[in-house]
Amino acid sequence: MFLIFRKKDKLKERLSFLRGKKITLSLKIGSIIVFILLFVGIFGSYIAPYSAVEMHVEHIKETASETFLLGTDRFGRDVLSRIIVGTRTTLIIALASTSLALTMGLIVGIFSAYYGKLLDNILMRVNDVFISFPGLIFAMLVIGVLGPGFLSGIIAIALIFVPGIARVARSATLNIVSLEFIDAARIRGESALYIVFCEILPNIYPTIIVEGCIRFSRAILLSASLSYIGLGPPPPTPDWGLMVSEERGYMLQNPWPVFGPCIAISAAVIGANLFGDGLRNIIVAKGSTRKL
Amino acid sequence: MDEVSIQHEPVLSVRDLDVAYFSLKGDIRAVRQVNIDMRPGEVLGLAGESGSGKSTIAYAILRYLPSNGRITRGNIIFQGKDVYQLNNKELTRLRGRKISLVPQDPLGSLNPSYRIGDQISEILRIHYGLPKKEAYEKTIEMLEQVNMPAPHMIAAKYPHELSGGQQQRVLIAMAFCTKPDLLIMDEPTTGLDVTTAARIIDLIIEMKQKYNSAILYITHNLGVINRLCDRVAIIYAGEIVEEGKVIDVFEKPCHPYTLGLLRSIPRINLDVAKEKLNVIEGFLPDLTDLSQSCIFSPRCLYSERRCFSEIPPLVHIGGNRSSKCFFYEKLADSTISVSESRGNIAKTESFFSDDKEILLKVDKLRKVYYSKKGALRAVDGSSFVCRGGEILGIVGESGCGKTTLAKCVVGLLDIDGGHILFNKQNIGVTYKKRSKELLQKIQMIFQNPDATLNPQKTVNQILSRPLALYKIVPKSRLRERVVELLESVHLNENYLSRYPHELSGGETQRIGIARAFAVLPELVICDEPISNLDVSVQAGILNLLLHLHDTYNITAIFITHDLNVVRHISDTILVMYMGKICEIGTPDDIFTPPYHPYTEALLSAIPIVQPNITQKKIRLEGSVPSPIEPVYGCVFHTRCPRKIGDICANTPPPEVEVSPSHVISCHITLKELMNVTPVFSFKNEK
Amino acid sequence: MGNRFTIFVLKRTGISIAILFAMSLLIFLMVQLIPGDAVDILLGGISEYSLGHETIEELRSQFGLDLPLHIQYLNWIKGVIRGDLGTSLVFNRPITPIILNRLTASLILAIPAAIMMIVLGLSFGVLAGVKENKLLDHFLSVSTLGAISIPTFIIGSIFIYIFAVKLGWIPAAFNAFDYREFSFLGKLTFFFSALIFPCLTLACEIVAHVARHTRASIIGELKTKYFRTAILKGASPRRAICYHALRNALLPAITVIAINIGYVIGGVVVIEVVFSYPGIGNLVLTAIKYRDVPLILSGMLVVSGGYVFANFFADVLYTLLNPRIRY
Repeated sequence: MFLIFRKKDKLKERLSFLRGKKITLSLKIGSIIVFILLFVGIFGSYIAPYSAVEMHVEHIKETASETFLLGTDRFGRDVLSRIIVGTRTTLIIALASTSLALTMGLIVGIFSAYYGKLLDNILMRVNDVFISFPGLIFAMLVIGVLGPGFLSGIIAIALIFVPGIARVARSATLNIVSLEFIDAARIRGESALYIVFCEILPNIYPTIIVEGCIRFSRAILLSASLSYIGLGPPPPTPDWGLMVSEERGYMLQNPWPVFGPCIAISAAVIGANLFGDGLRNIIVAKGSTRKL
Repeated sequence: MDEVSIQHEPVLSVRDLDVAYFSLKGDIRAVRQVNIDMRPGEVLGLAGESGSGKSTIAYAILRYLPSNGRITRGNIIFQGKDVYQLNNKELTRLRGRKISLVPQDPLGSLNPSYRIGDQISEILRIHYGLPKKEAYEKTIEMLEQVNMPAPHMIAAKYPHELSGGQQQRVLIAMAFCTKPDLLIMDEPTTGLDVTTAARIIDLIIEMKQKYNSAILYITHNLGVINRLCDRVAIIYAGEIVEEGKVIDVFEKPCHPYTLGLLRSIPRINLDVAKEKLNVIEGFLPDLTDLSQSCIFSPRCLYSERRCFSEIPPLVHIGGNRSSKCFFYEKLADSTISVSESRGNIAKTESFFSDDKEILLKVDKLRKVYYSKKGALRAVDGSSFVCRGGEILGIVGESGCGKTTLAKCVVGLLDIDGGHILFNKQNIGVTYKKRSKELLQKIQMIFQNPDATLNPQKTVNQILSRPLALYKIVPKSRLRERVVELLESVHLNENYLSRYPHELSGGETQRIGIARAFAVLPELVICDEPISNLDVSVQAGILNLLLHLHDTYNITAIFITHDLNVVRHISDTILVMYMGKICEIGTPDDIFTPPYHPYTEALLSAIPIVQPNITQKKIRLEGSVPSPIEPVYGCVFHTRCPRKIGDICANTPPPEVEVSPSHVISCHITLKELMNVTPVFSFKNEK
Repeated sequence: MGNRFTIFVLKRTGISIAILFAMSLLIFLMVQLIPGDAVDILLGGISEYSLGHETIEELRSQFGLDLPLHIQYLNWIKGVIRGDLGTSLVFNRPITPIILNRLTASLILAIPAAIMMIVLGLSFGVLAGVKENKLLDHFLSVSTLGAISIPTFIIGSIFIYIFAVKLGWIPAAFNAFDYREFSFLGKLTFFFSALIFPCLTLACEIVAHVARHTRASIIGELKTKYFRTAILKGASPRRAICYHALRNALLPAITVIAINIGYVIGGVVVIEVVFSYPGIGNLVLTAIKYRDVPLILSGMLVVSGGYVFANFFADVLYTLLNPRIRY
């Protein structure tokens, strides 16, 4: 019990920097949307009124009604359920790819900046080659090689992100590495691993987190675009981008199979963007001015 | 110094000014009840430490406060007109033409994308509508007036191609080219080398005599005010606490804050050394939460009950002076004599003795940085010894190699030649190759308070780590030991859970000192530990270092560019120039003849506060030569005022031993050097 | 000045070429990972047994697929330098004319979009930055947020829905009409109406990106000390902004514009799918879907090469404008 109290105090201490910081409207809206996204993503199948893949053959291409709140698609599947369960698809791809990219990019960036000289040169040249590919095009190539699917989508998006994140991590590390407390750690005899993980990393994780949020929103966008052009998880997986692409021809009869996922995608991306922006305001402001 | 100017109308009249900044916690009342009168041609110094509000006043006069700042009371009258009643057009015609500003950071204040000439001509084109050719000619003329060599070349360059001193001259040229009636200078020599700053101040005096502009000179350096200003206003936490002629105020201050400031500066009185400096205890008050009391009362040595319940008025006390203290009369009788309220005077005899063991021996150390442009010799064949228990001071201007030298000794840099012997063991390798025992014995205290501690760690974590790493104490005693460390640097256990951004500059440096001493080193290298701190805070840190040195008998190397400080704290002093050591000696040796010509120039350039000391004026022409060009003789020969001939350019100077403790590296004979007049002399001496 | 700058340009050209080679190698190696090779694809589902092992091996050597990898790579590169990009498996025609054709079509979309990005993006960014926190800024911030968050295919689909399906002002698909029959004016109107919305959709995202970054740059510039110097010199606010602040804000803007050229190249794929436009993006997509290996190789190389060139150009421009590097 006592331990829990101690932890709570530490948490309060950590969160105390929030006092007096501007928690903007964008942060509030963003957090709500992201929260909804996560919630629906995890519990989707329990909330959805119907199964996402079950075809109700008597109700093909119906408009919105009481039984099917947003109507049915050309196979008779409930559009609303597909959108709800589709959240998970998007979420998995976006979260997994962003996390993977953050980890790999961090390692490359930090060690490249810390060891400098030859390692830095080599890594950055290789990085330059990867960065010179336009994003979507490279993803297309990767998926072309691996074949469309969940995993290939995750890997493709992660690969596009790694060079950019590595650059951000590297430049953030370079800023820290020139500071004097790093020198103090060196002449204290600390090992390189200690310096990287205990001195450098705690100072750059705010930047990385903000970068991660922005990348997360871009991952949602990318995964939707990839599915739209036909390189995402194959049917019958409910996927927003795929739904927009497939149901295009029937927009006049029932706009919902197209507009529903459109709204979902847009809301998710906007929410993630707002969240990232608001987070940036808080995190950057943490280094407040010192009193004299 | 102009008697004529007293007759005229005041150029600037600041009446009862209150400036406040909006913040989430409440209004920050940065400036309160400030009254300033300036007559044409008068130089008024505005002296205060960081956070005192002096820059706020400057920008208020120019009507350029940031968006969250505003005047809440009072007004600013310039040449009869209220600055805040002017419309935008009149305001743009006023700025740059009648009132000019010379800002603090010259490189940041110049647009990096345009040439110097264009940026100066711009003013002339805006205010006088001069065509391009004429504007250019006038620009060259102004550059000549500020003593710029090769003005045509300078005009074609970009700001980043000029040195700090040259950039500041450009800004001064820009300020004076419209012959303004009022010039506001915001710490223009901060960040410049001592010798460069001295020349800039000379320039300002020259320009002031030529143009007869009124100058409001803002600084924290009382020595500069002594040189430059006619009158001085001392500002503390937004209020002017004392005002008067410089001579009067510095000789007989009438406010406890002024007294405290003057006592906290190391003095060059030639017969004392190493006594305790006066420290002003306490911190700046919270400007969002002020009460009806004297602003200085919580920190004042003379405060009484009355001071805590009433705000003292600014009282005119005759002779054109005013003071904001109820008890100014008490102070008017006191003196700032050194002996009063300072601690015991420590040993004055020279520390130098042959029989102390040599702890560190540096022999012909060389460190070269290789780049595309050539080989930059940061440290070029420097040799010296440091004995156990002594404090060795290394003094020099930027680029002289003192920091590089320190980093080589401590192992942050690789060396390219020579030896470093510590306890007779060769240690000329980087930290990666040094043993843990060796690393424990040599520690460092760093310069920049903002960068010296990990912002993501608490004080407890920062201090526990070295203790745990070297197992100085068992785990159970860890916290106890950390508290002991804190107390040894005059802090307490309340600091354990604080983060660096919650600490003041002085407190941060104390933690840095505690961290270095935690592992019980034998040698501590202090790399300009107080240069970035306020004057009154510096005194505290210096006292602390001396105290720790006495208690633990640790050997220290103290690096600084401030000669006053190095005199105060060192047993032996090294003077460095461009990677070489010019002179070694005790403080007495260094500050009295014979001098190395560079030392002589340095001493004549430092701004001193005591009005009763005269100082010779020796200035170095030209700029520091590039350290990439190979040098065959003495490194100083290109600028040496006492150069005797070609031998200085061709042959490296010999080491002349003046006394066992005193070595000068120069071609000039000892006899001639001994006959040089001293830089400092008392005005009243027989 | 001239000397140092020329050296820089030469060095940078060398680096770009090296990067291009490295990229070509990477593309080549990745394509090798595609299961099956050209012959398998060509034969479709016909199994080995029907044709016989030797026939298939003959086909392989005819395509040069039995040669060691590095020879195949070198042959390909030699071909590219000569201008011969090989033959498409899907279209069964030489690739070079196809690519040139499609590339031109995409450029017709991309270039006006890029011009809009520079002109509109910079202007909106400066306006928003100068009027920070006023109504205009909030409006621009919200609309740019929308533009970068809503995927291009959605914006494109909305445009189609409103203007083609509901209003009938523009053709819904490019190849739905046989435009060769129209008069000159007719052709012009047709092309314009067909191109305006793909172009606009493409421009949306990139204009918004550039505007947001420029806004941030300008706000930063307004806080610098040299901006303060300009105002305190007596410059009017307009002069201080247009002459002092803008000049320095251009530098990061160039970087952002270069990055967005990359978005354009990628985004053009999606646009071409939405509007069924026969451009190079669609070509590469088709190649990937059908595993047309020679076409994938050439298409990727051309597209990526374009991006490398754009980056090179941006780097040179940046150095030209930044005296701190040149001197």
